[in-house]
Amino acid sequence: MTVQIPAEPYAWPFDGEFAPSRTALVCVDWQTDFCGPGGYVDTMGYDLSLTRAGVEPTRKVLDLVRHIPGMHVVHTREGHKPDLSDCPPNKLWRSKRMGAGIGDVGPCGRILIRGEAGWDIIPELYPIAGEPIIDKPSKGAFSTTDIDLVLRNRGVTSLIFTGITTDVCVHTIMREANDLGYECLLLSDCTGATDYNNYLAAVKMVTMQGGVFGAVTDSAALITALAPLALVHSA
Amino acid sequence: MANGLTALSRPYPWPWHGAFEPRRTALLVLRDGDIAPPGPSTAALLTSVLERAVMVGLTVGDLPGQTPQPNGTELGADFRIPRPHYGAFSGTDLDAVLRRRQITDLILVGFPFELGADCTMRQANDLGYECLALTDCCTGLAPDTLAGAIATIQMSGGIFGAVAESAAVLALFANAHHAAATPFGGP
Repeated sequence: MTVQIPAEPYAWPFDGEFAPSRTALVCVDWQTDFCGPGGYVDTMGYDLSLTRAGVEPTRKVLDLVRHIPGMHVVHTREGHKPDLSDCPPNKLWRSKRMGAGIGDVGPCGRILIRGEAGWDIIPELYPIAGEPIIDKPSKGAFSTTDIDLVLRNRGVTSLIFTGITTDVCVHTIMREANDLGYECLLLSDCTGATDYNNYLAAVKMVTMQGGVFGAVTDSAALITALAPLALVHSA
Repeated sequence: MANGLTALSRPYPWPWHGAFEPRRTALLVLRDGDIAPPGPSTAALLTSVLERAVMVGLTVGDLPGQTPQPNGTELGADFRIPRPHYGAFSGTDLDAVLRRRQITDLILVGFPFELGADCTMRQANDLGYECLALTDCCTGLAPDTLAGAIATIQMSGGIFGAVAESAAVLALFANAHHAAATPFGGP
């Protein structure tokens, strides 16, 4: 059965051959530090409702995808070693200027440090067995982690993105993946930014020039298109 | 160590370490075909920044994108690396070229900014380079996407670095030129 997902500016994937075994749902940085009370983004004073907006739609998509045989799920998580040896000095300096220094002790433990409570993925979207977690010390993932190897080992060529924040980590990873030839799709209601206008600009940017970084759709369109592939599903 | 040479940039005085040094700095020009070429006033600004950059000792890198360039875009660059992709670090030896020259700080301009320059700034930032986007020397695919890209750089205290206009960078170059001409302790 042929499945194509309605999207802008073109029906996705481009070759009209959606295959669960070649497709991964990438969940980017759904961590307390970016969308939970007391985390990094909260400490900087941003509105958490903007970065939390995509949690429930993403939970529904995750629930469906986990019932599609052969389809992959990969999670990313930004954080640094406890001794900060993998944190570029300019990144550390900028965070301290914002009053939310990487490695400083906050309400959820040390900010953006691996192993701390605030660094971990929120319970609603927590990975299950068989879903690789890519720990990255960066906004992007391909230049600083083994994500490309993990995806290649599974035969993945197409990526569907959820996560936070749209304009920073999601966009950076999507741009890297696009450069490497991955066919990318962004779920517009499964992502959010610390500024709503930056979210809008980032989503629009993907669709410019005929889909310069891939295509955009929403969770409802994806779920409608993929539901027939699920063995058992109750959202 | 800091020589106090920084630009009037946002959201912080660039570079972060407070010691702008031309020999550690590259000006990178990223063009993606003729999608959004610079108009006459932007081109004139860029020419003036390039002239001063060379005069004060910066390295200039020409990083043309996927489409062959029209005539008349010779930059007189120190190196030229054609990009097979949008990000200039993807599939090129740009990182090695910069390291060999001991360059740690990058000033970026792009036509349009949102494609090659934005992708490259994100990659460079992840690799630890200290980046500055030169806003009035760039063009945009659309006004809202350019504004969004420039605004995103300034989130969270400068998540990919900082942004400035050419007047601020020209003043920085002039200060560096003056500092180099004045021995420590002064006359």
